[in-house]
Amino acid sequence: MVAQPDISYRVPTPSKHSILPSIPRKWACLTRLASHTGFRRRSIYRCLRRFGATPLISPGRLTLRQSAQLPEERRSSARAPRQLRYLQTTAPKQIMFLITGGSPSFLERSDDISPYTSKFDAFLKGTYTLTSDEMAGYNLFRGKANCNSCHLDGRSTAPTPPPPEGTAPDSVDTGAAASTAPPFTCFGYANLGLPKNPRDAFYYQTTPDSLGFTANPGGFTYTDYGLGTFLRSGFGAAPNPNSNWVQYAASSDGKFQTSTARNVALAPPRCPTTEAPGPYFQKEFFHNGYIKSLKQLVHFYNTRDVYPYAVESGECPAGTVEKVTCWPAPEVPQNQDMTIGKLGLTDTEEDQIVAFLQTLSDGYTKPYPFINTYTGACTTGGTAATQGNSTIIPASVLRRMAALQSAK
Amino acid sequence: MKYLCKTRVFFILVLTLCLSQLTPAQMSRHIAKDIPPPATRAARVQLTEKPSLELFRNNEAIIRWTSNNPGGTDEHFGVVNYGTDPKVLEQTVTSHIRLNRNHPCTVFRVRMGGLKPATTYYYTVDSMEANGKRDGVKSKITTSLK
Repeated sequence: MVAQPDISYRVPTPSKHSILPSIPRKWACLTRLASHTGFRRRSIYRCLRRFGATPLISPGRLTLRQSAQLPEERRSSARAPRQLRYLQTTAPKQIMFLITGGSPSFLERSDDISPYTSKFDAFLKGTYTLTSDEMAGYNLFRGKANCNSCHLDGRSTAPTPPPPEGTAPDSVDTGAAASTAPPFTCFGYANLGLPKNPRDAFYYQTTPDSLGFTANPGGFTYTDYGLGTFLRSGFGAAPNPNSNWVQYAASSDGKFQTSTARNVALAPPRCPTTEAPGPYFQKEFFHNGYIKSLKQLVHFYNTRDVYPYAVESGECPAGTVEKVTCWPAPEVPQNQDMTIGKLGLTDTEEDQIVAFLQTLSDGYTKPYPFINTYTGACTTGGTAATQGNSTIIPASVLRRMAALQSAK
Repeated sequence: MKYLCKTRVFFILVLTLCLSQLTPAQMSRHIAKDIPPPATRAARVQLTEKPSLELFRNNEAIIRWTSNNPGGTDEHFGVVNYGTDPKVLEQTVTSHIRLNRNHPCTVFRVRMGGLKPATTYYYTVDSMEANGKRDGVKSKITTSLK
């Protein structure tokens, strides 16, 4: 399971589609629809459109043509059959639009998915006191480590400048909260220079499955260019809807959207952490799951440019330890974000940031009702720094194995 | 007509079902802020830490410097103009960073690739907004990079 906690807290920015300020009006519109004798299609379209999402039915067909027919429809003696035909054909589609297009949006915005019930949210409300490590991690998150340049924490982080501009000590939060519900993402895109993960099953799906579908004909030659792939309508991407965007593909290669840091450490109570020695719940981080623990994640941000090696995963030089003192070459070397890479954090400071990230898990002030339903096994042993390294097989060996498998 | 009534009842039932999914208690009270406009640009962008060579390995180097926060767009780029002749810095390389609006200073790091071995390079540094507008950093000292 790749930890991409980006479904929750994905309230759209800008918020022009926000439904919250006008809920009563929209509910009223739906109520009117349910009781309306005419079942005017244009009204239904307008009403459902307010719930935000792409309609399944062309708006032109509904707004222009149908609206022009409405007065005649009202006068027509054959009105009832038309309504019946409408109810049998278009209405179910509109309802499906509401269910398939509108409801997920509601769900994503709902307290069930984005509840803001973490320790950190309680801290912002003044009902929880961060421990010394958590507080130190928070100060690093918004200070030295500069995490909140992308994972926006909604608060003024202004470490008061040194004299003569300011007088307060560094890293003192002297500002007011800009948001009481920070999303911990800027919704932007960046190429962090993550190495390729040759253990991703996708690289081995080179032959047709039982349905005749071949997920990845290119095997190991496939490179995930992220946003760049989308902009040039590359393999596996949805078509780029605007040909003018193609010009930005090259400068967007390797970029992926910044995920929220919220719930990055979420784990079931029975395996309460993501970090070895545990008992821990094994998660995978970033878009390709190369990173196996939050410790590794922070260490990657901290040392990507300190221990770079022009090798693939599993082939770090002797005397180095992958993910500790060796970072294999990035999958997409161009456009790398340089906000990170050498943060100068100590080992203790890395641990403190991990402690802070663990305060971002929801369910503290209002536990999830089904949080205890996980019945799988926990993993134990090892250290968070080398978590998952025992299963690393050199990329060249994996490639040979894949070639043999394809030849069979 | 009877069928019409039945269908209409079904329609109302489905709508009721949908509405029941949208109870106020489930509505998040929180809305993401609109993407804020670019921050105010600093009147003058000055180096607070001179450019230095952070890493040099194989044919790759990283140049690092610090300036006051230039403001403007959060998406920013460090810019290094370099060349083998100090009078003609004909090559340019940029690296992306994201400004932290609440930090008084900004660290810029630029990755340079394709360098030739045993060659002396000279460079100046600057930064620019996402729209290409330069911040006008005065990097007076041209440093050699070998």
